[in-house]
Amino acid sequence: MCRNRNPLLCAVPPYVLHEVAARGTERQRKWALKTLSADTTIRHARAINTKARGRKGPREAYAAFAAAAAKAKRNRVIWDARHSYAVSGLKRVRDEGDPPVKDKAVNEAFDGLGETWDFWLRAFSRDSIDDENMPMRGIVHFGEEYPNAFWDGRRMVFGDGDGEIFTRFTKSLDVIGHELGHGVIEDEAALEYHGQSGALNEHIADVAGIMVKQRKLEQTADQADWLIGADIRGSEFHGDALRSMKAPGTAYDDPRLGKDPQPAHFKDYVNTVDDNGGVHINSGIPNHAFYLLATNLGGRSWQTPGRIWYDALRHPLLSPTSTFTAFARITHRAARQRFGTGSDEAKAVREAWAEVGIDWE
Amino acid sequence: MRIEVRQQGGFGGLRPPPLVVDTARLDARTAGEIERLAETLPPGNEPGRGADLMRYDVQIDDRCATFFEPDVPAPVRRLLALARDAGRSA
Repeated sequence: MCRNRNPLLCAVPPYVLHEVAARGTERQRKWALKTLSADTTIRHARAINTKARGRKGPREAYAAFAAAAAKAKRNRVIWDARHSYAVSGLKRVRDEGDPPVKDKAVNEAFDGLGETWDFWLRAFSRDSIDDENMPMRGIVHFGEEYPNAFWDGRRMVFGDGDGEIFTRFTKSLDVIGHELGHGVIEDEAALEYHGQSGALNEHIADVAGIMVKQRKLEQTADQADWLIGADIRGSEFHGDALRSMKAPGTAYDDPRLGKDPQPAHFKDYVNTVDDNGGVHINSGIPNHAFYLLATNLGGRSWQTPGRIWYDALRHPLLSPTSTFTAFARITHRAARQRFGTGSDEAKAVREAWAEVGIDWE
Repeated sequence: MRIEVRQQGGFGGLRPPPLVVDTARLDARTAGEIERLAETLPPGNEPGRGADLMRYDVQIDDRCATFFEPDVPAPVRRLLALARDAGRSA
């Protein structure tokens, strides 16, 4: 596993590297940061392998890991809130292995969680939200005409909408992928939900949702619509969706909801106290960078761009309070690590961020 | 009594126009229920863990309280529902 790398580095635990990065001399800090960034992917793979294999050689380890991945099983549970606002003590209406039921929302949530679980496993070898087969819990029919879906730290909760502006939130695979994405983000990076880190949290959840949808539809980046929430629009919603990663700020213009406020460029960053400091507003900036990268590289969004973003999400340099620029630099570093310093992929990452006004020396 | 409800957040991060209810313009039964709920409005709650949660800012005359999903107290839910219905019929 340590081939082409200083074997000593493999023996240094990350918390020691973090300490050196925080307290060492300039030279030590550089070494520690470089080691941390180089080490993260292999370290994580090793952690997974360790779980699967005990202490075996690399060949056996790979076989054990593949076997573990093959054994990974979906673990879904759906509850029915019956239009109450409760999230516990509810009737369990469908478990893994149960046949479809009459209730569409139950089946949509169940199937959407299954698609999302498949996506994470097939694209990134990730076993559920925590990579340890955490059950995927969903609650449907939350509240009365409730126009929302949310992640409460343990489960995804779906409302039915009012039927006019919004329909059932379970109808949309990108909504389900987005909400489960919040669980993955919380598990990996715990990005604080306000300001730029909060907008990054929303952005990565949108990336997760759009990748799940595009994989299901077998779309390449240039074939996709890059719209978030198009399937939950009711008959009286004026617009194409709730967000557009392709053209932030153009998704809707509605007499009751106003106009899509998302900026596409950092110069238009919205400073506000609303919406936890504009987490759903300013996410338009990194969303657009991801779109630019995916369409520039071509192919499937969850392959090269998604892989880079996933590496960045798990990067030790990503902190709960990371800014846009910090995240951009980490994605660039992740691309260099995976594809090479002078690679087209790394260059494309830097160009995509520069196009939305985020650059660094 | 004047009641104003501002909603924000959620999956869409939407900020619809505030709902403004003047109980003097409602039928006596609805107005009475809204006023009773408003007079006993709790002081608000803290935001919980999670993402895409709704937030409600409720202003009653010169008092204001903020409530976060999913732990909005039942009487506040009732007040929000009544305000929504009153807003619809206005």
